[in-house]
Amino acid sequence: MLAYVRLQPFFFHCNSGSSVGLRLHTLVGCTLAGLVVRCGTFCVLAIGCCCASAAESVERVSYTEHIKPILNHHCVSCHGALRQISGLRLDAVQLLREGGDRGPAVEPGRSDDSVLMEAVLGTGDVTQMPPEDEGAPLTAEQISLLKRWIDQGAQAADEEIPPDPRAHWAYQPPVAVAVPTGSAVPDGSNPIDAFLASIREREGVVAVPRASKEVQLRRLYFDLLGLPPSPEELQAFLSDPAEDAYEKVVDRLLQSPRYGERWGRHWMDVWRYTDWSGLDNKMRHSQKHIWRWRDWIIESLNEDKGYDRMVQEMLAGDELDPTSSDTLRATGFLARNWYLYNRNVWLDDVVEHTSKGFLGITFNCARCHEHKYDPLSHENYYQFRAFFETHNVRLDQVGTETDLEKDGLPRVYDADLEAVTYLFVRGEETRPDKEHPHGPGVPEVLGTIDGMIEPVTLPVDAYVPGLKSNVRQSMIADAHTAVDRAVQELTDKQQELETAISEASGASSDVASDSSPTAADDDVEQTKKVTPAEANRAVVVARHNIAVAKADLTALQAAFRADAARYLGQIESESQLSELTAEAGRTHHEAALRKAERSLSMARQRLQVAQESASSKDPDKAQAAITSAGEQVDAATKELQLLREQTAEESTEDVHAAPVYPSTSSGRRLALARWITSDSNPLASRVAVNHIWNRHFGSPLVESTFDFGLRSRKPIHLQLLDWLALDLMGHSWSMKHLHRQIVTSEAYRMQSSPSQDSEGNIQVDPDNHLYWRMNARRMEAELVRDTLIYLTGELDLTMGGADLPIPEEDDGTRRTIYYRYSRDFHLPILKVFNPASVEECYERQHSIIPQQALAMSNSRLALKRGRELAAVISRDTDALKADSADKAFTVSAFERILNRSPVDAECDACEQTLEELMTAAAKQGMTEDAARQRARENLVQVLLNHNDFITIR
Amino acid sequence: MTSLLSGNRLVQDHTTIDSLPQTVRTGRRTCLTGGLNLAGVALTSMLNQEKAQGASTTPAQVGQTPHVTPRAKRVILLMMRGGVSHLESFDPKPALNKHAGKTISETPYGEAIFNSPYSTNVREQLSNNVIKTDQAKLWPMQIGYRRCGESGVAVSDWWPHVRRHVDDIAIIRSMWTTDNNHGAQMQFISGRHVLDGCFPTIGAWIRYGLSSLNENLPQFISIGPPLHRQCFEGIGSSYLGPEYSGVRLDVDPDNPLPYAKPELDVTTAEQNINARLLGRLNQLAWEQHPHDAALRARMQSYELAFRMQTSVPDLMRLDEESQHTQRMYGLDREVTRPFGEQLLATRRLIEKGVRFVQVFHGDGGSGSWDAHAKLAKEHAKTSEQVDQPIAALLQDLKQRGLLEDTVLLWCTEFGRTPGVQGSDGRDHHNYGFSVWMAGGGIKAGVVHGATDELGFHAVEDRHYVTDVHATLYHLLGLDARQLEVPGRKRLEVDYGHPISKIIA
Repeated sequence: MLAYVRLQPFFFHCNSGSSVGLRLHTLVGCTLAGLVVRCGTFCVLAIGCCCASAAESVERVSYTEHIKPILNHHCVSCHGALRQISGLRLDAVQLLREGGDRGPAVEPGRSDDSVLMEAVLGTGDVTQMPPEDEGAPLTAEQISLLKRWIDQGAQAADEEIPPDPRAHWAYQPPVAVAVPTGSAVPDGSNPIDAFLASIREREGVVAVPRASKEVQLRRLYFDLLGLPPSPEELQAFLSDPAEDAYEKVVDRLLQSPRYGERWGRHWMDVWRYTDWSGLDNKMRHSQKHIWRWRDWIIESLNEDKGYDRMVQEMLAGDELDPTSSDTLRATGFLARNWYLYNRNVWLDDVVEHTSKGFLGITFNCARCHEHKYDPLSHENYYQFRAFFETHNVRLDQVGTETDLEKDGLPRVYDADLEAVTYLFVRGEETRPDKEHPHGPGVPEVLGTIDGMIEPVTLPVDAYVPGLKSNVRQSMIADAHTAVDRAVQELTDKQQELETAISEASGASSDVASDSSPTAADDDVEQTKKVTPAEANRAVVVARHNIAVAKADLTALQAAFRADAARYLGQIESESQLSELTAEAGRTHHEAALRKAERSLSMARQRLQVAQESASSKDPDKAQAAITSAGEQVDAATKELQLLREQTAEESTEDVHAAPVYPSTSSGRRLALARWITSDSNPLASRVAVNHIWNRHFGSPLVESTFDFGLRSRKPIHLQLLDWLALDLMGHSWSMKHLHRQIVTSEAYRMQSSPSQDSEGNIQVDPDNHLYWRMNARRMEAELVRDTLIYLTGELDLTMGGADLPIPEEDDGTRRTIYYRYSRDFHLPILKVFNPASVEECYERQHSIIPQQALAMSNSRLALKRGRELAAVISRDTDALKADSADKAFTVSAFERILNRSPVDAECDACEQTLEELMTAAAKQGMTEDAARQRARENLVQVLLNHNDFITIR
Repeated sequence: MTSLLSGNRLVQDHTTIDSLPQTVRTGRRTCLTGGLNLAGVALTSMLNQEKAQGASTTPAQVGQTPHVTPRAKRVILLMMRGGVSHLESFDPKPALNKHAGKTISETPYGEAIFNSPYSTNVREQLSNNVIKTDQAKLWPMQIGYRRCGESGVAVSDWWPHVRRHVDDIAIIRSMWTTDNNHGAQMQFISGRHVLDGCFPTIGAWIRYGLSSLNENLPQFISIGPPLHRQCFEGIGSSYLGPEYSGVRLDVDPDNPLPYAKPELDVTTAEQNINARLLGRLNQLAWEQHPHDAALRARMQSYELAFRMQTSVPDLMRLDEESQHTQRMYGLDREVTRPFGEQLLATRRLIEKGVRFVQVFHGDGGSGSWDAHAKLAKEHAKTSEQVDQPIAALLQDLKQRGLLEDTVLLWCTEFGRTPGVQGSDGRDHHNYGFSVWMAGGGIKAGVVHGATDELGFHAVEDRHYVTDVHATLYHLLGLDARQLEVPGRKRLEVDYGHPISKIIA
């Protein structure tokens, strides 16, 4: 059937992707040439550096300097607080002496008798440590250090024994603490300031004053909208005497649709947005039309959908709200991981980034073995994977566009409820542990999901989307169109046949004119002309095409009636259902017959052509063509024969107008999403708060934004983090509430430079861990481009829609977020300003490189927009008298580009330069007016390259 | 409570930082952990550059790091895109002629080849473009070979100029890789299969590991047709950060690099005036914000950009070279001029202190060496385009004494099948192929490793592509393991092993 056939290639990808991929991955991805076990690319590593030369030269081996790093790097993950294999811990010196099942690990002064030495050397009856595949063996230098340390008496003072990893701060639920009070905390303080002030007071650090109103407004605009304030907006704010002038602006900006675009891009970084990529039109990564997920993100943020709800919709929108195409867009978060070649790589990505993005845990490190630092077992990894084992990706039709290449809704659904999850031994997919299948579960340390998973019975529209009226009507309309087209084709071909016949009969009389000057042209024409035989063959094919199109239409209509009967219960009796089903089968069979007849007819034509055109020039080739055509005739004959022998009834089972999916969803993902966003989950709200905080302040509260595990240090501002996390949950996970809380704090409104009396701060806290000043930040790539276009008033603020192709010369005017963004495509200007990696970007980098200077000085984008901006400013300021016009221009340019007025020294420098530039332009032979404008264009260019344009203070 | 802060200072891991004087490791950590934001990056980077300018940290000093002594300062990587037939360049196989027309199974080598443990060294990117190895008929060598030099190494007649330098180079006949499509180009320079994602390229690693040799020039330069839609055109630095990615140059003094000169009309006079005003205004801002390291870094980045705008185009003015030199590189002949110009520019860049230059040859999506059909004609043509210029580069580097501390690597992503594709081509072949190296501590006039009788599998001294990387690191005095970026796990195979038998 039409729709069914149309969708086939897509499903083929999904299914074959996993089976073929399995083999390929086994060969190399997992064990490259059998040498190496693939592991996550982002496991945090122990940083142990032991410089051999230094080691050799050391007379006296030091435990802390030389030995502990070796033990930490090579031993402690199996012999430490997390696990004590053989009852042995090596993470404190007294535990070494105490030893494990085999007795003390070291015998001071006697390295030869020490179990530790036997282990690292693999002597005695001890297996060599670290075990193969668990890490590189120790180097000779490292072994020598251990030996000498033991022989020197294994001396070291007792040390603190690392606590049970399960007691790690991030695994405990946020604790509600009272907002601090005291002398450092003025009454009515924003709780953020109260927490910060009390720590600053303890540390002897003094906060700097508020930034100027201009800087505050610019910061706020860029932060919330990604665009600068206009001079009018700046003026209005500066002249608003109201005490809550700032708060009013905050409220207004949070209502702006630009907010969703600005923060949408932030979350697209974290959630790994990418448009599809592949080779030519063949998709390898992500999905076509994934932009619908981007629009969902922007819209959801603008309507202040709760973060909890957003997470739930992204992971399980299909189970939560199965018939809402608006909600289904959210599952682009999962659909984005679709990967042509390997289902395991695909699911690995899902596990890795669901856990990093929402929970701040590095599950990927437990794919091949137990997590080295966190209480995440090898089994836990596969239990987590099991939440996703059943799911797959499909495209649903949107509106009336039946060609899913052109439009569609990429979404996930549970395709295979029977799918089983096996642990891969050492992460190798060729070694599934089939004895012990794993069901969905969460790491014990984070709680339990027992009793939360309930299968979801889907409404019929969700699992037979073809029955929705838009799909049904457009498919039938398409089938009608196909019939009309075939009928028209026959008329055309018959016309051509008549022409061919008449031309052929008159051809001999035309021969005489061959010697005319236009003969060459005629030759060209001649080659295009069809012979009567060719035209006749086309007519025959056209008749077949009509028969096929009509049979398809009939079959499609019958199939829809049968599907409606089956799934919507649109029947009066059981017998009617079987009649309709039989009819669908019969008409389907008829359509198949028509197609087979057409194939046979066409094959016969090819054979005939091959036989007739066989030339003696290349007899081998001609014979090969005849043989091949003959084989095709045989095959087509056989196929038709088979169909004719088959009764219609035999094929009724599978006949549907459109694909039918499982009517139940496992409910696994919904349970996971609800568990992640439950009040008792210790991580989700903290991780979300940390992401938002980082993007407001330019530094996060928890340094490693995707890893809250044991490798992350306890944050200085844990109480503040917890307070904000609880506050977020207490306000229905409203992100706008959190934004407001943050941007109205004094901490946010501070200046970014140290004040005169903060020299002490620089000594105590040079890196501003205590937020005693604001962090100046560099614009992200998108902001650079958007702002350049916005300043001239040219930025097209249309929202949403399909990803835009990359325009030549970057002359597009839509916001950057709407242009195609994938591994292979993006706007070129972005490249130099650290755009988000589509693989992973939990936070942006902010480099400062000469290529950025070149781009800002020389790119067509910057120059063109700068010149347009100069024209705009001139137009607005030239009403002034000539003698003050330059000054007015300078002031206006500062206000627009740097969002502040120039100081005198700046005015002087600019005025002087304008004169210089005018002289230079005049030398080029420009008129005075042209020279003046040219000078101004250059001034604008300079201001666009000013540090304080690209810097958000 | 002081512990809170002192605890945070421990972020900086002094053991790693101090052990590698020339890297910008503090910057990386900062960037990754996000704790210090851009100021830290910029400042560290600047400090490193300043250090590099002073006498305290010269490239020679890298050699004082524990494990390796540097032999070379610079690298030139020439990649022939598309897959050069090893069978018709540097790896003669008489057995091919003898068994021409048979399938591999019909030769005495069939069993060894098809049962080889190396047969699994493939990870298909596309499954539909590889000939059926067991059905294809062996195709004789399409060109003759001749021995040359004191070493008497045989090189094909398509490479007569390079052949005259055979005593200067070390041929490795036993390369293998896992990608059976042109993603192998990226794999050759990043060590990773393109389906694994984008990883830092060898140029980026070396740029990351070593200081600048010339403050006015980018240190990692890429010339020639970029890798077609492969990970930022084959100059990517991935997680090392964009400051370590390559800068693409065109041999065009008018427009050598992206945004090198104004894309709309701006006169030099205007540029100079603008630069002065910008300097003045940023200086005023600096007085307002004396602690703003990012501001200072940005001012310096503008100065470097300004210098690059002049220095880079100057280096592309090849007419400054003598007629003799221009002729030597083949600039006087249509067929050799494009690549000749690129290699002459390469020598000028290397001479002026660029650390790593990679030159891609072979236009088109997959590269013009991709001779699925008409191999004899196509390879004859492409070889002629590069043979004389490459020989000239060797000669020129030698004459100027630059070859002593410059490593030259000639490579291609894979070889071509011993069996015929269609009637006159060879398909992709990643089980065994040849590359060669010269200069900078590489043994001269040697052949290393071997493929089997039919040139199918690399069987002797086999090398995956990262062994070539390891060799480069070794020659430059770098220990790749110490370049590891915290939080970014590298696999054992990423490091490779130096090919010690070709190191002098």
